[in-house]
Amino acid sequence: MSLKRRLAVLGAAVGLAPLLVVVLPAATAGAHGYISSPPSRQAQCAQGTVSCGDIKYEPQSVEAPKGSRLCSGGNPRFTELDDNNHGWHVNAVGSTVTFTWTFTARHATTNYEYYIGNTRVAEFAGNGQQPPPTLSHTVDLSGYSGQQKLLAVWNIADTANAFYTCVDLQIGGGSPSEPPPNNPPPTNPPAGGTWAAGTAYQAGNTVTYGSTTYRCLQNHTALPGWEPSSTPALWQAL
Amino acid sequence: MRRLAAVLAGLLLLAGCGTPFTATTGGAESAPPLPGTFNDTDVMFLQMMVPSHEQGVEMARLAAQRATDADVRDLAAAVELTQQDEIADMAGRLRAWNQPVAADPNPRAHTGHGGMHATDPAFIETLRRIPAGPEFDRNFLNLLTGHQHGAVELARMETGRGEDTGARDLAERIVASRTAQIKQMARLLAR
Repeated sequence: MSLKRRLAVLGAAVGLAPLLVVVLPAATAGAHGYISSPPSRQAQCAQGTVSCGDIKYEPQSVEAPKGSRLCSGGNPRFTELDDNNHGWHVNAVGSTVTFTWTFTARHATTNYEYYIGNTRVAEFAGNGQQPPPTLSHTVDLSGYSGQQKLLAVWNIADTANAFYTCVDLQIGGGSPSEPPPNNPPPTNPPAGGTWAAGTAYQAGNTVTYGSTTYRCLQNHTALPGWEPSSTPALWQAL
Repeated sequence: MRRLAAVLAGLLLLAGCGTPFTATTGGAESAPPLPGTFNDTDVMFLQMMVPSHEQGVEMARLAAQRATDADVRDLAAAVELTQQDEIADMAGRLRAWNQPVAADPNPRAHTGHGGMHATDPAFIETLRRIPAGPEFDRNFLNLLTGHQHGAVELARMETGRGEDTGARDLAERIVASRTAQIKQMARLLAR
């Protein structure tokens, strides 16, 4: 492409941009969310309880047109959520259950619906408002017992889409599946050892990483991505 | 002419973040990218991440002082300090490229990308009004979890389409550390 032509394209693009700002918010729902407690299927992906594909990075993104009764909402990127044999942890609960949502951004809401099978067991109005920072719903499930798959749907007011999230429940006693083996609590460090993710370090602890020794400046649990070489706020090279 | 193209691309970023168009700011189309070149994804990533990080720092600073659970306080303090360093790093990269550090201070300006990268300031204010206690800890963990999901989403855009090695490395560390924080916060919430 010649420079002149390229500039013409850029100029046209600049002319279009203000229109895009107006049009795009209506075209893409600016809201994302899922049930984090009891951990939904996508929450278990994000928390590493079960191994999953891309959904582990974006449990909040299970968005699809309204009206589905699938855990994926029919979104082809996340069909693994529809697999009942994926090893999901089943949450042992009583006959009333409080579900807590986590949002990454919040959109005007029509309502929240909870389904078991094709039966709507609860509905909460959204009144076209944004949800609060932490939103919990208490749902009466006394008509059910044993293992059930509950689907919650967050219907967005100003788009055609909804967000879908399934929670596996063992209602009213009985034995749930084995608790998740992952997510071990942090361990205490050996003195002067090699830096290791998952270790709880106290200010003053020393570690080696690469061929360098570092002193911890701030109490924290070491995480992948927080290696001493790239976190001068946490580790001082000695 | 290169400068004019950069200015136009900058306007694009201001107006609509520029994703629908491949306005290359750092390299010519006919030549392979030179070391140290960058593209509009790199710029957009950094410009959107700086205000997102500032919000994260604000939440974390509040929790480092007010959280009841010592582990929550330690996590919050470590998040505050590491994100402050990252802000300085990101702003430095933008300045080195002669790009504005803030494309648009209004977090709603990016709703065209789904608006998922910024937390509504009203929710940080709500958090600020909650007194110390389990209710504060729970709200903080839930809010920061949502906020860090947004950071992961933005960083994955950079690891997928960014060009600058330094910015991509930073994005990879952000994906790793925020994903691990989210796991840690889930464990703290389950206490």
